[in-house]
This record gives sequence, structure tokens and C-alpha cells, in this order.
Amino acid sequence: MGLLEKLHARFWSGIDAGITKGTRNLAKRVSRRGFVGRLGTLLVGAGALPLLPVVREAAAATAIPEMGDPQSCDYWRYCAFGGNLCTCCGGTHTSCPPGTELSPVTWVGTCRNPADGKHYLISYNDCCGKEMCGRCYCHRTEGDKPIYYPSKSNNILWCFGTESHAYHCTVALVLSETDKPG
Amino acid sequence: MGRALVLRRVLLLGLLIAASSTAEEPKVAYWLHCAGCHLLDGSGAPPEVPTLIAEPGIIAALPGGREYLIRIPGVAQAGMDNARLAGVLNYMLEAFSPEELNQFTPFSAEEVGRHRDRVLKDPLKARARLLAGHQLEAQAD
Amino acid sequence: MGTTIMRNRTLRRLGTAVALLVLPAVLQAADFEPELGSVETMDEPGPHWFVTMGFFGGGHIFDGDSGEMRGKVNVSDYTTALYLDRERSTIYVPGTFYSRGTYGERTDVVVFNDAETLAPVAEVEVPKKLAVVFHRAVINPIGDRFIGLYNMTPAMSVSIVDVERRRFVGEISTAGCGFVYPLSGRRFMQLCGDGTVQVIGLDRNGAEASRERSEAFFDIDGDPVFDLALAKPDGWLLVSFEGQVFEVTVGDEIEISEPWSLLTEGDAAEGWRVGGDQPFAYNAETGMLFTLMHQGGPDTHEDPGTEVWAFNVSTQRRGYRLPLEEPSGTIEASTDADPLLYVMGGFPAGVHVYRAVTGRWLHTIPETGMSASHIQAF
Repeated sequence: MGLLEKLHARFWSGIDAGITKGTRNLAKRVSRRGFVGRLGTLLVGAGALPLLPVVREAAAATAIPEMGDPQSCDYWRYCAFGGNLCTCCGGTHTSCPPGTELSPVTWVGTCRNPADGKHYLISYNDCCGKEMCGRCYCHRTEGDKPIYYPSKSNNILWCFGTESHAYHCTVALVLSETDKPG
Repeated sequence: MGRALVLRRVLLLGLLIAASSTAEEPKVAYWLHCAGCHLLDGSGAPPEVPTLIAEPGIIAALPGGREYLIRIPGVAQAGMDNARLAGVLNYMLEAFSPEELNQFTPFSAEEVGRHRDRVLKDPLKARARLLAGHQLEAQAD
Repeated sequence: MGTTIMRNRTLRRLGTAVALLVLPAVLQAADFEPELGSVETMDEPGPHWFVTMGFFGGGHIFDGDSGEMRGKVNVSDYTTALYLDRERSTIYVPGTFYSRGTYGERTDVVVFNDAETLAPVAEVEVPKKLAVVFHRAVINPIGDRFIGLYNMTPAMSVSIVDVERRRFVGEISTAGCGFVYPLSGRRFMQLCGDGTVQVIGLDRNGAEASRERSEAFFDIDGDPVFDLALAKPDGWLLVSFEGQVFEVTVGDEIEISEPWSLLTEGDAAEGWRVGGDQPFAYNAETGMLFTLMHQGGPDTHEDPGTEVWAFNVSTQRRGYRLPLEEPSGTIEASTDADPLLYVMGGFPAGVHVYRAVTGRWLHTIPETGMSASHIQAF
């Protein structure tokens, strides 16, 4: 068992109580406390992990090693982020702030995770229906393409398929690991 | 709001599938290049984003349908080589149109390459022509 | 029409000056007239006028010569560009509105603003699909009677509005291609994700009459062209992420020139690269191309420039390098024969005005709009 796995196991064993409330809460605790970044702690956590207890086993087997502060634009998942970080606006890096609506339609890119050196598919979903949050503006363009190629462009207001397309902030969800960055 | 919840569940479901399937390349390529708009389960956001459930399977069986599927901009312009694109098309059809596929011959890189660069200038018109006289026509509007 | 306004205004100013001169005498008089205040009208926009645009607010109009703000046109929170129709003295502003600000019933419209009073005088409702992308080419004229509006849902299409009859004509599906870059003969050009350009022509009623595609000439994954195209006679200039310049000329056919590079081998070795939100501008009268340049690696196509480079497009040579005191992501040039160069910088954004041909700094206009991020020359 490598260091990452050990940390991972410890992390999960320590939050049994918390996880029954769902990952939304978990993720919130993680980023609100901000210990990820402030202490520079390597933590194994939950991007693709809004998971209920019943599926925890499967999730634990594929959890993503995490490193960095989701409230910082430098955080690895934000490599092609354009907008306000939801973790600074009452949400987390995987959940929208209260009263907003998660846009189902989005664009997907890849980012390299420094904790394991692997590439992951990142879905940049906008949270919509309120005025722009205006906090933690972040703009990075790794793999970003022009607007006329929308499936790879972050310069688009991606509030599609929502009740209102007012832009509030953006989350960064891990969909999968991949061996092909692009 | 109800719709959002449903969508969120769909997303969750997708993530669960994700957890155990990183080795399935065509599916990951679908997620990277297509699922942003058409969603992980292919349901899209009609009418703006067409659903990939059932309809492509029906279209594939129509005369000229396979060409059409290769040439629509979302497919033809996707940033991958012909072999990978063929894999994504096959995944899309097998995963979202399992019941519509009848004696389905999978797409090959060669077939994709044969049609991909023939630009489909007006996909909507092409689609209407393709479906003319077919039962899908009513739904296409 | 414009001269009449100017004369009136001059007379009025003269009147004020005369009044000021005699003020001491008047003050002693019992019949002192209180100032009642008034509302200005706008002069006909000169060749050095521009408007600034930004998320959630824009439409500030400036005179680049005097540095004075001349007025503000109403915009919606989602308006990213507008179009001044000099012939009809009207400013068309596309916009999206919700009945409760950020939620409620959505209405997408083109508002017709009188260019003298800057008052909305008419509006045309269009499909609720207007693209929210920060881009000049979301609204443009097509021929002398229509305007095209870029939609994204994210499916791409163009809504056509008849400005003469003030009504929505129809929507043209443009899957795989985006924007409205006007061409002669009631046509417009679009950029496409397969490395081509598309040209769509309208008939007299504003319906689609023709659709042509060029050969593929750039690689969307390897080195795409920026989505900002620059107007030249009979076509458009395109610049790629890696600094290749293409000239697209559209007559009966679509011609794409052999590309040339903005960068010498030495420049490339030093890591110079084009970048910004609005990273280049072109003045067709002088044939000068202005680019914002920074030193950086791949994927830094939106990093702000530390220098402006000016090129002569016909000789494909660089004329001057202009180091900037602060990095800028937004540059624009006026369209006349004695052009000004506008370089945006600071927060709230100001605009540094230069003589474009020489690169000589003239003056700086401060506070060009709280959220200003883009400049549109009139």
C-alpha cells in the first residue's frame, strides 16, 4: 500500500459519520475548512464522489488522490476554468451554491492531477439563475479552443438547459481518468 | 427544480459507472468529446441538443443514415482520429440504441474516413431529407 | 443632419459663454434666471469614436480625439456587442431580459436606439437563443436591410432581422459554424470547427439563398484561428494561435491566401505569442495589423500582451514594437485613413490612445466603464 492509498484509507475511515449525509456535505466541509490548501495537506478526496454509503465501496476503490486548494485558481481541476469558483460562493468545487441550478449541458476537457500524474476528464458545469457571484475569478486556458468550436471553449456562458441562463459560478467535476489528454 | 434533480441523478449514475470503467476507451472518448452537451446517458437537452437515445439507431438503418451519422458536425469535427471516432459511434449506438440496432455492422475507421471529410453543409436539411417519409419525421420537428 | 445638430450645439455653447461673460452684471439684477438644466443629444459619431463593452454593463461611447465620453447606450446584462447603422442613425443592441432580473420570463430582443437621443425607439423580439460570448461578431449587418444575430443553445444558428420593416425574418441553422462576419452582396462569413469558413447568402426577403464552404485550411486541434476576424475589402483576415495570418477573400469563390507568420525565427525562439481577449486589430485603409504580444507557451492565447506589434500586411513586415507599461488584453483600431489605436488597461479599465501609424501615445482616457473589457470602434 503506497502513501497515497494509506492517506486515502485514513481519510475515508475518519469521515464515516460525515459521508452518510452525502458528499455534498463532505465536499463542503473539505473546502470550507480550506485545510486542503492552507496546510498543504495531501488529501485523498472526492471529485467524482458525490456518493451515498451504499456505493462507497466502489467509490473508495477508484477515489482520486487530491492535492491543492479548491478555493485557489491554481487547483489542478481548474486548468481550463473560466469564471467564478463556486467554492468561494457558497458551493464547493463539485456543488452549486444554494438556490442556483446546475447546468446539465457543459463542456469537458482534461487536466493533469499532480497527486498521481494522471489525466482526468473534467466537466465544467455552470451554476445558474443568480447574478454573477463575482468572487474568486479564475481564468485558465489549457486546451481551450475558439468559440466556434463550442465543445472545447470556456469563453461561453454555459448555462444551457437551465431555467435561467444568468451566470453565477462554475464547478469542476471529475468524470473519469483518461490516458489521452485533449 | 424537479428537472434539475433528475438531471443531477443522471449525472450521479454516470459517475458511478465512471468509477469502474476507465479502461473502456470509446466511452471515455464519448464523455470527453460528446457528453458535455449530449450528457453521459445520451439524453441531451432537446430540442436544442438532440437526444442520442434510440434515434441514431433508427437513423443508422435508413438509406444514407450511416453516412449522415459520420458527417454531422458534432461527429465529423470531433478531435480524434478515424479509428477512435468509429469506436465512439459504435459505443453511442450500442449503449443508447440497443433495441433499435438490427444486425448492426460496427463502423470501421475506413468507413469513417470515407465520409468524414465530405462536409455536410446543412445538417438540419439533410436530417429532414433522411427522415422524410419515415415515422421519425414528426418527432424531428 | 449631423451638421445641423453640431451647429445647434455650438450655438448653445456660444450662448452659455456669452452668458458667463455678462454674469456679474446679471447677478445684480433682480430678474436672475435660474438654470433649469437640459439634456444633451449626441453628435454624429466621428471616425475616432468607440464604445466599450463588458459583462453586466457596457455601451459607454467615447470620442478618441478629445477623450470625452459622449453618452451611453442601454444594454442588457448579456449584451456583448452592438451595431451602429449610420444610414438610419440607429444603434441596434441585442439583449436578453428576465422579468425578474436574473429569473422569470426570458425575452430576447434587438433594441433600436436613436443614435442622436440614445433613446430606445423600437424593438424586435427574436428567438430566446442569443449567444452570450464576448465577441464583436454576435451582431452585424447583412446587406443594407438585414442584421444577423449569432445564437448558441449550444447548437449554433443565426437569427435574421429586417431593420427596415422592423421584424424578425427567420432563423438559419449553422451547425458546426459560428458568428456573423458581413460580406458584400447580402452575404456573411462564418468560422467552422473543421478548419473551414462558410459563406451564407440571403435572398431579397432575408431567407437563405446560398451556402458555400471553403477547403479546410487550418487544424482546429493543432493551430486554430482565433475567433476574432478582421475586416478587409472583400473579405477577412484571420490569425492563428501560433501567429499565422490568413487572408480570406470572397468574390464568386472563397479564396484563402498562403499564410505568413507574424513571428521571425528569433521571435519564436524568444517565445513571443499573440494573446488576449481582443488580441488584434486591423486598419484596412493603411493596411496595418496590430497585435498584442506576450512571451509564453502553448495554451496562453488569452494571456495579456506586454507589447503591441504593428505590421504592414502587404509587405508582411513588422513596422514597430511598442512596449506597454501595463499588460493589456484588448486592442482596437479606428477604421479611417488617419487611425487611432486603442489599448485597454487597468481597473476600472482605461483606454490608452495612440497614433496608430507611429505608435506615439496621445492621451489616456480613464474609467471607460466599470466592467469594460472590450472596445468596438464605430
